[in-house]
Amino acid sequence: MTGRVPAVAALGLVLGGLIVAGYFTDAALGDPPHTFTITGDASLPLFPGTSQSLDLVFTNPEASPITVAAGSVTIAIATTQADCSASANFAVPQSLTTNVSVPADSTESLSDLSVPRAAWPVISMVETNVDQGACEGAPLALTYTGSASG
Amino acid sequence: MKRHATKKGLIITTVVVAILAGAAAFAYFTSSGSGTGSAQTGSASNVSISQIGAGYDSLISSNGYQQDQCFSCASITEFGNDITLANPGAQQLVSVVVAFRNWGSAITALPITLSINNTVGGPISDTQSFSFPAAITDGSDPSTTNATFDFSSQGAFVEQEFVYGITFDPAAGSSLNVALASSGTNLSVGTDTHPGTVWVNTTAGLGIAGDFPACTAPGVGFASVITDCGASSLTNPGAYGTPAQVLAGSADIPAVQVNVVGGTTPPLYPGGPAQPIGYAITNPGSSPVHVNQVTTTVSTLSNTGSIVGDEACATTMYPIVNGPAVNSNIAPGTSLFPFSGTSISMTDDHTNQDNCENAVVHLSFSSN
Repeated sequence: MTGRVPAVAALGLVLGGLIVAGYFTDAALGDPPHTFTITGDASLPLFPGTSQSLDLVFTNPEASPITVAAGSVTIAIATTQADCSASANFAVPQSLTTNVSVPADSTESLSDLSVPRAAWPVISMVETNVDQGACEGAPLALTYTGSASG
Repeated sequence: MKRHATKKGLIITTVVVAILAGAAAFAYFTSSGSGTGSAQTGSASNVSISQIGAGYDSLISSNGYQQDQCFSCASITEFGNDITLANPGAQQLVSVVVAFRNWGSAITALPITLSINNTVGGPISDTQSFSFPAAITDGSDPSTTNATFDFSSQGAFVEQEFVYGITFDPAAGSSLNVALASSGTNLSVGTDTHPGTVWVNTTAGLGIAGDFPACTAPGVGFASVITDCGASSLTNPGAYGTPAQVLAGSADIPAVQVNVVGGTTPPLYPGGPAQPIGYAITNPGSSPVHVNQVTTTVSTLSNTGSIVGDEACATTMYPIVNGPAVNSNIAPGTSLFPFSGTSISMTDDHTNQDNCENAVVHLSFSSN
């Protein structure tokens, strides 16, 4: 009896190891990368010294839920309006500040997921204390990138 | 036997843990997300700028008051008047200035309340503690102080006509009187709604302690009393009295200036003191608008004279000193700048400037 113990235990470890190895192999074989999409528009116009919270919308096409980690969403702001420097006039003072779980095969907004507004990402127009008239009425393009696990 | 059974249990447990570990590793993956969105900056609304100034003014700019109303010696607890502002309609109240005269020792931090009973939104009041310097000569030459009640934070709108009352503890301010002006000669802006009356709350009787004409009867509570029913009291000459006495300069109304949005600057005189110009900036939009410098200029003159041989009245006779830049975001609604630092004066050309007498100076405001 005593001599059979390591053999069975080793079998279990090997099985586990094979399964783990199968995960890496799967990726190596070229499965399409797991992706999700992030969208979201500011609901109100920005003025110098004001901010907008973004009710981001996550689309998870996978068959299992994903978790978007706090701080993992980055936002880039750009504008084509002449003489309006995006870097000088706009900022992202806050990223997503809480982990967000997106159900499998679903499209959900932060508000749909009952994420508190205080945890939503925030964009702002900086009060530069100089004339910012060049940015008046400027359309802003927001580009989101992020990562999730699940 | 017990030892063997325990080892079997250990084996089973080890296998299960290993499989679970493998399963967990299999389920775990990472994914990347991306996407786009949009935002837009707002467009600024055009703001409008209105002058803050007197809608009613019975102050005497030189402080040359001849009469005042004693509270303690006439058992008065509230004193006021029914007045009519120069412009029609409801107007945003900014401040009320009351002239006081102190006949005795200096008074420190005396609470005084100014109440207005019929504003658009109901009665309003402002209580502040004022200090007054001692009389120049105790008992015979009073000091004069203009006390300003600041209503700018209340956002209150007053009707064109309203009754105001001034209240303080007569015992604490026994030497303090409200200065009186003449409705016949000192009222430069607005009108005295009911000439020959003022509002008083007193426990004194007919003639109200000898300060009013002998025929003046007190009302119940804070009430209108008739001050022109007879000649001035012999013990208080120069106060109240017949219409003829008032027209001759007898002081009959409290010396008060009511400043509103849309009001005017007190009268200017050649070489006289510069008068401050306050303004209100109204942002009709729903978002803040940045305003940098507000510039005030004299746009036109009207009601000028045409006396042949006298110098023509010109806008250049009214120099304006503009205050510092506002340089702030103006929230939606009306923001008040009663102490803008801007002022206007009238030059003394050392010639006859009669063509400017009663001239109306029209101001223009612009901002960037």
